[in-house]
Amino acid sequence: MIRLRTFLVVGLLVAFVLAGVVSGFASPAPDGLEKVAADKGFGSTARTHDLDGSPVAGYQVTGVGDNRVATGLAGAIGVVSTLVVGGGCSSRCAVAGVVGPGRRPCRRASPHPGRSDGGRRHGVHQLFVPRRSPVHALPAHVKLAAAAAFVLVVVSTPYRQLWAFAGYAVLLVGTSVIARSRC
Amino acid sequence: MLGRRLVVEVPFVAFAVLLPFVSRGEKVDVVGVSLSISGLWGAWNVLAKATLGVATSVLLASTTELRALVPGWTGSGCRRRSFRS
Repeated sequence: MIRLRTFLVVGLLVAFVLAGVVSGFASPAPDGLEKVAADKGFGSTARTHDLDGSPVAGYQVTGVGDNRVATGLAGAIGVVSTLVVGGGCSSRCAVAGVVGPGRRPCRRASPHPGRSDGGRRHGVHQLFVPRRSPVHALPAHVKLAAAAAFVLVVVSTPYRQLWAFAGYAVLLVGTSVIARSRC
Repeated sequence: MLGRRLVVEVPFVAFAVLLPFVSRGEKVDVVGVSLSISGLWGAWNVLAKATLGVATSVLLASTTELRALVPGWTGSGCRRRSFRS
C-alpha cells in the first residue's frame, strides 16, 4: 500500500518533469488534428484562439527568449493551476462531506467507533438526514421517480423562459421546507 | 446544509463564469467589461439547470435512506414487469 504523501510527491515530480522539462523537446511537427486538417484541405479554416496573446498562449510564456524555457515555464504554470483548481475543489467537497472521506465541520456520533478512520468511508450514508417529515415518509420509489422527472423537465426547459426556472426554484424550496417540518 | 452540499457544483460554476468572457458573437458592456451575450445566456443555462439538478438530488438523498433507494424500483413494479417479458 503506497502512502498518500508518497503518491502525491512522486506524482507531482513526474508531472513537473514532463510538463517543465520534457515538453521542451517535443516534436515541432504538426499534431494529429493539424496534419489531418492539412491533408484533407480544411487546415486554412483554423482561426486564432480567443485567448491568443494571453500570458501563456500557444503553450509558451510570452516575453521569454528561449523557446524551451518558455514552454517549460508554461507547463509548470499549467501543473500548478491544475493542482490548485482540482485539489481545491476536491478538498472542499471532502470537507463538505459530499464525496469520500474528509474532515467534518460538525462532529457526529461515528457509526463505526472502533475503526481507525472513524467510519469516514461511510461518508455517503451521511447524506441522509434522519427526520420525521412528510417528505421523509413518502415511499422511496415515488421520490426517485419525482426527482428524475423533475430533473428531466428542468433540463429540457428552454433557458430563455426565466419564469419557468423561478417556478422550479419555488417548488424545490417549498419541498425542502416541508422536509424540515415534522409530521 | 443545502448550501454546503451544493459545493459539488463548484467546477461547473467555474466553467459557467468563464463563458461570457471567452464566447464569441455580439458583445455587451457591463461596468466597462465587454461580455458576450450568447456567453451570458450559456452561463445562465448551465448555472440554473445545474443548481436545480444538484439541489433536487441533494433533497432526495437527505430525505431517503440509501437502503430504501435500492429496492425502490421493486416497489414501483418496474422490475417485476421486466422479468416477465
